[in-house]
Amino acid sequence: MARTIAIVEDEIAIAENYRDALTRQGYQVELYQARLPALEAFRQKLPDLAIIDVGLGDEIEGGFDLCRDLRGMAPELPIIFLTARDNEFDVVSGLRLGADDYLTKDISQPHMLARIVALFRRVDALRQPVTKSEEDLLERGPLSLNMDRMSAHWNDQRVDLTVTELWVVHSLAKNPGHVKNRQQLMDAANVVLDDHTITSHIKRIRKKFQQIDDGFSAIETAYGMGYRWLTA
Amino acid sequence: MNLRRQLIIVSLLTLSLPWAGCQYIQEMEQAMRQGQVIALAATATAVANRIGSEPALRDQLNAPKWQAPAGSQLYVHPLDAPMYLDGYNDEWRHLAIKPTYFDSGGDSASAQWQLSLGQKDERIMMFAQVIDARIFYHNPNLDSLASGDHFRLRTRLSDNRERDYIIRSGAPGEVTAYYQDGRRIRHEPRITGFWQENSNGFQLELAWPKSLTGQSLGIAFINVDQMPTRKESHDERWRSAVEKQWLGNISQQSASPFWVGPDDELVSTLKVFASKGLRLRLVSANQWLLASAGQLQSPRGDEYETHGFMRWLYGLMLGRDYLPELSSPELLGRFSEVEVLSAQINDARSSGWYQWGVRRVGRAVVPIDLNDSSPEKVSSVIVAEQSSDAMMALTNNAFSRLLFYTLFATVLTGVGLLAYASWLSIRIRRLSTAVATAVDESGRISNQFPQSTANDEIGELTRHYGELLRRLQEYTEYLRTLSSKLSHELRTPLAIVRSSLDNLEHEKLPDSAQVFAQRANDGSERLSAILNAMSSASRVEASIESSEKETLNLGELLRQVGAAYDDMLSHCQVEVFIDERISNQDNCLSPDLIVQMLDKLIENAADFCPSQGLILIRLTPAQSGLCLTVSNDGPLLPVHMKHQLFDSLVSIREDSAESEKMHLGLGLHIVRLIVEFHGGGIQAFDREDLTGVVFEILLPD
Repeated sequence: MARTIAIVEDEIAIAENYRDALTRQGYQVELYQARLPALEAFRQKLPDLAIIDVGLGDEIEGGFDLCRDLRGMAPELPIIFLTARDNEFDVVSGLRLGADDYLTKDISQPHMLARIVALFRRVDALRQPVTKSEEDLLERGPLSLNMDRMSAHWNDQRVDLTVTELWVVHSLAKNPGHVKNRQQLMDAANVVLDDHTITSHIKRIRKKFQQIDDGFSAIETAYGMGYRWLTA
Repeated sequence: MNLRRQLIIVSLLTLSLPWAGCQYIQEMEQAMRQGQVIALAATATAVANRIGSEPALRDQLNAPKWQAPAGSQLYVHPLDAPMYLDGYNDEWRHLAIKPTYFDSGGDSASAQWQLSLGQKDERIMMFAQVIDARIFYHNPNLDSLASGDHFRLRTRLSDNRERDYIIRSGAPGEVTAYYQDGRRIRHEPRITGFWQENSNGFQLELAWPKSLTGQSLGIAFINVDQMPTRKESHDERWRSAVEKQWLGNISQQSASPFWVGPDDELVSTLKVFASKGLRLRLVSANQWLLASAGQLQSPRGDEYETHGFMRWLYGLMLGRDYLPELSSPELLGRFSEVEVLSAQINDARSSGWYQWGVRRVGRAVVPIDLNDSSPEKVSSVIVAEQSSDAMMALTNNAFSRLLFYTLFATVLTGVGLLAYASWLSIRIRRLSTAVATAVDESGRISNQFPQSTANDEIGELTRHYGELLRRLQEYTEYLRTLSSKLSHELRTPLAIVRSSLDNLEHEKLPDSAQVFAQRANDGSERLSAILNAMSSASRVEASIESSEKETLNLGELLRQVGAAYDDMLSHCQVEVFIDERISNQDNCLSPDLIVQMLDKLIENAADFCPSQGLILIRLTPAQSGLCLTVSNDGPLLPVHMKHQLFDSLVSIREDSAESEKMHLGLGLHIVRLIVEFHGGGIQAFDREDLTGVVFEILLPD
């Protein structure tokens, strides 16, 4: 059965383009142009993944409201924010509302698809008990990454990372001690961002780890070069 | 010339106040003088009327001796002091009497003498000082009456005959008088006196009862220059032949004139009218001083005495011209002043002003109307004199007050204007400074434009400026955020384009169309990069606001980063210099931002640095804080855009085909944002030796 992806986007051309692209990948896509119709539809049947635009018509932050409502209905549902806005505040607000990722609209389709695939993988992994013995696992001291399940644990506690952040951590932890510059991290995270956004991603990642472990200092800034993972 | 100086000059106009005051005081003084003269004339008229209406006094004034020609008349001064008849002038010297002078007229060799006359207690006293090179004493052998130098007193007897009393002496000492009665020579014992020799000649003091001389008196000194020889002595002809010189108010043949002097009765009449400071005088038709009463104030100042400089100043400011000195006619007894003559000639009152020491004296002359006098007859006059002392004091006082008040007013006005000007100029300067600093070198508008609540034009100007700057700031702010807004707005259509292109890849396209799709893809990617760059400034701003500072050693950080850069940059060398004084100093900074800033600076420097060039990072202590400089070899800054260097979307690079990287000039803008976040300042300038460019960042402690 094809997975259902709901796209809530007031810009019809973008929505249809995404629909076409996703349909091509075998997904079933539902398009909504406003918050209320989308919410109505979600009440009846939840999609498997939602891509929501922050600004919906006249409702400048309609996407945030919708996200909140949807998260209330389905705690496990992957939600991706897609927006023309890219300022730090919006990113933080969106993620705090429980979105799984936050993308700017000019992201390329392959990048977006990679993310959708990753998110579905995570959802699947959560739903199914461990079946495969050869999972894509990465253990670095207290850190353990399961790239199949798209999950990260620190001292056996789950760290709630977005897909982008997970890929960044993965890229760093794969080769501890090696400095990864920003471009490498961007490539790993399947994003085209400026240096600064990587910096704020790193900052957020550190914070998330620090919520679990105050003494977290595994990600070191190599000034002028990039970042590296330090093993204790 | 600044505002303050201009207003000080304007304040000099207040100096016209004292001038106006002086004019007023002058006019006031003029008016008061006029008033005083009128009052004096009124007093004099009252006296004149009183005397004119008294028949006895009228007759007195009409007496022939007051009408006779005054030329040969002798004036007998009243004497108050005790007199000693001794032939010496000790008492006379101190008397207010100016002697009458007689000489032969031009011949200096001959004798000359001076005569003083006075009356005291019904006696007439006379003192004669004779300068005579040769004194011939009386020799009875030559002439029984008078053979040598002698005096003659010619009087008119009651029967209208004239009699000459001869005062002669055979030797210095007591003298007496003789007269010829028929052929006999008689002695007159009532005339007494002393004859004393002195170095220049001799002196004679005489006294006789007033009754002896009657109304007329002629006095002559008969000087003998040559003694006749003895054998001629009895010759009667000799007497006329011997050379004798008559010096006096009479000659050998002339009749004795009336003698004159103050009249007691008139004096007592005048005294009634005289008061303090008012002097009244009665002057006869032939200008003899008939009576005098009252005293003027002393010519020396008393309580109104002022400093010489002040007096000079008063004189200068009040325009007091110099007046003729007040004469003292009482010394001679004759009062032939111009006002008297004028009043007598015109038979009308006249007046004048005189200087008397420090005082001024006003004089009014009024003729006495004697009713019966014929028009041709010259009248006697009343002279009233009063010093303007009180008035002077009044004007001086007024002047000094005026001087004080106007000086005070001028100083007050000057100080007031100065303060006002200072206040104005401070406000204007403050406004000017605020305007000058409102827009900094890089064209940013500061928020601290002073608000003015003043109601005047300067306040209004300040408010207008504030409003202008506020609007300008809004507009600048709009321009500053334009790029991020623009990028935001452009992102949606770009997303349509990109997603469409992505979809197009999955469509079957002829090869010829693939090329165009590829190009469209490239174009949209570039557009996307541009939009990212455009909005990155605002993203940086947002992230800067959320940045946290931590304590770190900036020197250590720079060393690390410098080494990294040196490895990274292949075509040029990066050196780091840390001043030893601060190599161990910790600073409160945001390391991420500092590194980001350095990234941008080094990137910028490396772009301009020629191959094998040097990029130098220096950290030195500044006056307050640290001074971080990044300098590189290479081309100098373009002159025309120095101030916009740090603005966003400003690139001063020349377009070069080889540079594939997009350059939107955001790097230095981000640098500035970071520096400002740390409270510092940044400026770019050429190296002194013009080999490259220096970016200097001042970070406060």
